[in-house]
Amino acid sequence: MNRRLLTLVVMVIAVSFMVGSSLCYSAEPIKIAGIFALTGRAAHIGTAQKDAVLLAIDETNQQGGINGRMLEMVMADTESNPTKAVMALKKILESQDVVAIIGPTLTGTAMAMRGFIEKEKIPTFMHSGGDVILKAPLDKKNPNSMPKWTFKSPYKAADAMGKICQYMNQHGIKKIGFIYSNEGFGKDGVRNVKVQAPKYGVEIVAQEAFQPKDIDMTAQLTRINAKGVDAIIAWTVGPAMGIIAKNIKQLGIKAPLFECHGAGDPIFWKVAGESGEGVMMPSTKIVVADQLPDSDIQKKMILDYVKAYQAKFNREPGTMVAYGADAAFITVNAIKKVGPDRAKIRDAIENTTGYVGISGIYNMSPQDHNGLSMDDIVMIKATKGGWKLLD
Amino acid sequence: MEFSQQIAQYIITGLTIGAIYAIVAMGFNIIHNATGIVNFAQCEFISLGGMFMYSLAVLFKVNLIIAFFISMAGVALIGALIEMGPIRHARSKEIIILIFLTIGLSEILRGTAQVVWGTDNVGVPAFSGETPIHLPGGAAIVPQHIWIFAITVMVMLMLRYFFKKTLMGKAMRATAVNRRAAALAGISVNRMVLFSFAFSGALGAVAGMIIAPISSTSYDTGIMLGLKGFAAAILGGYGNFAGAILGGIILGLLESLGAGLISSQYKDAIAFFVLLLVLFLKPRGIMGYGESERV
Amino acid sequence: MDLLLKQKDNLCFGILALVIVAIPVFVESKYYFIVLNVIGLNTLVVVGLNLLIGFAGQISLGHAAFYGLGSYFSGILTVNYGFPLWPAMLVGMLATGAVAYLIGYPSLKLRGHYLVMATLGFGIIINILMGELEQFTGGHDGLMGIPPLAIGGLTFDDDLKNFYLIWSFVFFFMLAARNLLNSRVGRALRAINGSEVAANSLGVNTADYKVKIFVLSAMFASVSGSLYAHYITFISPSSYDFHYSIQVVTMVIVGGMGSLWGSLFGAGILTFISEALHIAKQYHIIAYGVFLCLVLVFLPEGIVVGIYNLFLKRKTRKLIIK
Repeated sequence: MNRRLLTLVVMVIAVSFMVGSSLCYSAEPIKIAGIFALTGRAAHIGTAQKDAVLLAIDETNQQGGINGRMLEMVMADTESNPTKAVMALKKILESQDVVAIIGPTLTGTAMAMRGFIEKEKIPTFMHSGGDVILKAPLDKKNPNSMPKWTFKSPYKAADAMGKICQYMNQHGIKKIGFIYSNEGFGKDGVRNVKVQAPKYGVEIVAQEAFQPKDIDMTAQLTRINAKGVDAIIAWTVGPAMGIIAKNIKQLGIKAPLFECHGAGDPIFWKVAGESGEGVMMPSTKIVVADQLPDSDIQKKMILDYVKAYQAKFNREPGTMVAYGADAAFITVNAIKKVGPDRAKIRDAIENTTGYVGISGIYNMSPQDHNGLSMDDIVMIKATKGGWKLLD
Repeated sequence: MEFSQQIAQYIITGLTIGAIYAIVAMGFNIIHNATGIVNFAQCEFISLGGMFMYSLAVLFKVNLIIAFFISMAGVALIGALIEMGPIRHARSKEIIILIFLTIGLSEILRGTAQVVWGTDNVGVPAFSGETPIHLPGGAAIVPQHIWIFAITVMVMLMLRYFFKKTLMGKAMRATAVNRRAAALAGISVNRMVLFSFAFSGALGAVAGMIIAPISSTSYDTGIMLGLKGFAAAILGGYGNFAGAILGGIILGLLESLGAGLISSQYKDAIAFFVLLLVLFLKPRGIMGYGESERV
Repeated sequence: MDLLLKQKDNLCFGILALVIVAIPVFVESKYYFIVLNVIGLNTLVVVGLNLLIGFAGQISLGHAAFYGLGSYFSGILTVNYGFPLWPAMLVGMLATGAVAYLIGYPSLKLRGHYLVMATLGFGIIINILMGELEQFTGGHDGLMGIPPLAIGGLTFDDDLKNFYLIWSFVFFFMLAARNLLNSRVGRALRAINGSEVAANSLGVNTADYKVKIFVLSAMFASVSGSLYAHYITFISPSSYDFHYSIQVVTMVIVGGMGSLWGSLFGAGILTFISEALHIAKQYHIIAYGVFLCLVLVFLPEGIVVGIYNLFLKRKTRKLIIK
């Protein structure tokens, strides 16, 4: 009696194992790698973008995945360090069968990874801000050697700067002061403003820098103010966004303050407090979705995503969440269309046109691996703890 | 804005930053005097002070004054725990080992802060509002700056009173001069070292809390401030309290005037360069007394 | 030197050579190779630094600057000016040595914490310059397109080839360090470490030796930096901040100050742990700190020497019991 029971039990277990494993086998997940700055100096941006990507992947899985296969994100931490970023990249490429990569966060880590990505031939959708990622040729001796496997979701920093200057031109601002953070992002801003400002008849009469971790910029702002400016542009992310706003109020400077396209984030209010009132900036539409006209084709998609984001993470999404979400969705859509094949995914991403994303309408091409334009950017004003869409 | 007004602004700003550096420098000095080491966990004391203040004042809506003192006590406790645990029980008393032990401890503290509070910067309410005050001479400050100056002066006076007039303060000074003699005189050296770590924690927390309303705070705010506070301590003469204040003020002014008058990009490079020059000319810092070495 | 010790030492070098040759037979993963390569690069810096800290008894919290100078000299000369690769590394080494001399000569007159500050200070200054002198360095965006090293037709452009290249350098530089320590210079260094005043009174020109060993350690770091630049082909100032300086000194201490093999183990263990701890996800900083504290509290002589001592203790205890 015992023996028969035992045999029965064993058979049941064996059969369920076989059935179960075959089920698992057919539902083997599709792996995407997510490489972000989860620790180190860019951790707050990296974590927010990781969340954005995770949400996009979750939504796709809830809708049944891709042909019955679930998406699985394999994560790695660049520690905001280029060497570690390359190591993380290699680790992912070795031990996992990933079909695409999303990330990283910092431009420095992106540039370090770029060469290896192109060599490895894996489609990578970056959400780092530096235009240099797509603009700089892979081989210095051949200026036409553009990256083939690297894509970028944030709109060009040059366009963001152009949007500010355009707004200034429309509102009679002629002379400005430019204060920037003395690292990659800020210096990129200097290059951009020197090109964009003259295009819109704006003159830069003062230019000052500060270290990213500085706690007081009154000296620099005093110098800028002394030259008599109509407006000030501050090009930085992080606590400095707030410190500059506070310093300007302290010094009694009346000229309006413009900040960069990364400022449209709840963290701005945390660091600026009341002094943030009235500061203007370019942004993705995600922070002012409810103020968009109903005729805007992006409105519904953004509102749905924002609701899901608020429900899952219990906080408001900042402007940079849009980049992470778009990178994820476009990649996922590509996989949906052509299946888990790296080369095909790359082609599909490159041929994405008219895609209604959160950051804008993406029109990619072999020459343009970003696909956004200045029209996708809006100008907003920080007011009463929230944002107001400026027209 | 006239040039003299600009200069006035640079000076006021420099003094403000300098006050913060001075408090941090004093924290470094207390531990150096008691143990001879550099406590790099001081950086975390600064961050933790700000973060405790944030949690208490913003998340739990505790009264600012109470939050201030509780945060101070909390970080002082952490300082004491560090000493009672790893530092006291370290098998080697060699200075370089202990210094790197403090570095390891600061990693633990920073890692924990990151897990608890995340990586975002957060704001702390100003102690009495943010309405700008325009001083005669053309410079402008906010009420928080007055608090910074006032608290720094109070800390200075309290420390001076403590070390000169109270029994415990004198006991700590005795321990700093000669541990063995102090022990022979009946002073519990272990307890003095413990208190010095606790004091240092409290000072770091104060520095972090008074600047947080202006510069916001996060799990790693204290690294740069700690580094510059250390520089200020060295500049003024390591271990010397008057030196800490002098060093803090000079460093703050160098940064501010350097940014305002010379170049904002090279501001830090200029400050450190001057520091190096001073050290090459006066190897013990401006007010440092010679340290005798046993041979 | 004691003959037995010398034989043991030679044996260690022999084993190292064997291991270096054998590893690629067993390891296939490119990821492991890059970790091993980073360990190798760190070892090169740490060995030089150990000469300064462990043997000469000085300290430097600014060695990231020399590592960086090696990278940037190699990078700038080869990318911007089309310099040939190996001469660029040599020029970088000598130039870095010159910078180290200029900084070291006044700095090494300082003692204790003042020396710590001075080295921190110049480390920061050089790091700032890397970011500011954009026309040469590419600024904060970094310098890219650095060509891989090559000998004749063999180009070191993948992880396996760089493994052999980097570890060959490690092998020979460690050998050189070992020979240095067994010479008059080594004995002079140990004398300085014991007591500068005594060494001086015995006729050892301490100031001279200190500066020279500082320059030598800078050159070790510079060579490592050059190898890094040609391997990763992209460099930026953020890799050469004071966090890196602290990291390498930590490796010296954990490995064991004054132990040449300790440098190898220190670099290896800490690099490996830093990577392995990613399993702990957001707790990895805490875990790393705990590991560091445990070593420093319980094995302050360094892991290699510490464990060796533990064995000795057991042996002596057994002998006593007998």
